[in-house]
Amino acid sequence: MTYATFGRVIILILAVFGESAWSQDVGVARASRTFDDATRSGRVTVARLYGDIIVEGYSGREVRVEARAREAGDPRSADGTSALGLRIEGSGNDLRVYVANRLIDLRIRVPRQTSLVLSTVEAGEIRVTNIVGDVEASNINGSITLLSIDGVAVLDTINGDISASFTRVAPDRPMAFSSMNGTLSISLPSSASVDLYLETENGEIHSDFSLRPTSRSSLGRRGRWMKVNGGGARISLTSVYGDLNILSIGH
Amino acid sequence: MSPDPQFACPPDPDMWLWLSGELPMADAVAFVTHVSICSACRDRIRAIDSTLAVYTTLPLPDVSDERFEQALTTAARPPTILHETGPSPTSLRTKKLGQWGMRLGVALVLLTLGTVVGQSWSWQSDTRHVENEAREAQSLLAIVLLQQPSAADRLRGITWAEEIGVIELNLRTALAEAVRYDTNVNVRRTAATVLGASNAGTDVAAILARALLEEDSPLVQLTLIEVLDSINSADAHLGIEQLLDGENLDPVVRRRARESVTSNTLREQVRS
Repeated sequence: MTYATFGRVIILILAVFGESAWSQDVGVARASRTFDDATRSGRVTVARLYGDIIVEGYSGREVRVEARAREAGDPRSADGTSALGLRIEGSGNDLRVYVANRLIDLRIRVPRQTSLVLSTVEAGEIRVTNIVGDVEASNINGSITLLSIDGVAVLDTINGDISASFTRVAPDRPMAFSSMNGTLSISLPSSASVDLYLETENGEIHSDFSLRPTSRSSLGRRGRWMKVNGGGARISLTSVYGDLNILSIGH
Repeated sequence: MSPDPQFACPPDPDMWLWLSGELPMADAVAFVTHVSICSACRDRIRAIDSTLAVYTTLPLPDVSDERFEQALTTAARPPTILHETGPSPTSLRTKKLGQWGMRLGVALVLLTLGTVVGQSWSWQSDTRHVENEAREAQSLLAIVLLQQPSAADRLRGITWAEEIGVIELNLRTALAEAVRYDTNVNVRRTAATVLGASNAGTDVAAILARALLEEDSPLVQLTLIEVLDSINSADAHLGIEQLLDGENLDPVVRRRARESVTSNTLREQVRS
């Protein structure tokens, strides 16, 4: 074997096993756990200061979390465990995901019938897909996006947009969305019957639905209640500087 | 999501039993809880109660054996030939019976009238009782909902509190705690609005003013300023003025607070 051939083999070995070692150790941590009672829906809480929180509902039973540091490298703690500090704690069907206060993005897969309580502050977005349950989310400087939600949502941001798409609207459970500077967009089935409270100081209102004013007293003096398809579940949208968009999924 | 079974409408027989006071206590609690939130059931109960009232005013038919025999005898008797001159004993009996019939009719009318008026008064009293029970149950449910982990459920509790109209002390306290301590921005905002609209006096203004000074979220601060401005009391305006002393106030919040103080000053000048 010549030196050149030997060198190629070494490079090949490094390329194959080095990549694997990188994905396992450097900047990535994984954890999983099941709810104690798989017959009931569970709840997952994530409260962060930095980074994305991406949650997807799936048909499995485990809560699977992948934490990925956005900066290069993964400083390891003295005992050799990942410095990402990822762990899932809780009891019963109420779980909480913890991770170190660094710029770390979280990708979480949960059983579809799971309620979520999510919050982040900086440099991150919250995105939730394919959930049957309640979604409560708060983001100060990023957006919140909900897709294919069969349940209710209560969302707020300061500087980020809110976009939420519902496959069904529960008739007797209210929802609320509010932002200081973000645009609020909610997508509802075309047959949804809701009472909408709309308030924006400097934004515009766009609706695919026909809106009929109601005599219901207002939450605030700057907004109004409107009926959609005869009225029903209460949904309030408030943005100081952003637009309000009410979109019909069947439109 | 299917509706919660405990919120299913009770069947008519349960309503009859409840109206007659015969529904077991364990069922009655669930019954009243449901009725407090279901206007359709309340309407149905009123309808059944009205029907009961009508039944009680109807005279009971005489179905005694004696009466039955008398009817048979009358049916078997040959037709009576009336005398053309002078009153016959039969016609005298008929006349006498007519007078008694008239008296009986008047008595029945008076009895019916008395029964209807009595039932109406009793029904109104029962209705008030039902409404009071419903309000208490609804208050209790609103308080329970305000303690739920789901923000949507807590919002629903506030919605119910708003629909009760008259907010009792316990519920007011729960709403005040929601304004000050709830973890969700939208819940705090909505609770502040409903509490402010409850016209519950100066203590509410003081609570909301304190909440304004403790609040971090500019969204909730804006709502509180609006609510306090509409309450228009000394405590309310003092709270807004004190907020302006803060250094790290959001510019929009500061502007709204200044607008409120300015408009209050103008109101005071107009008054004086």
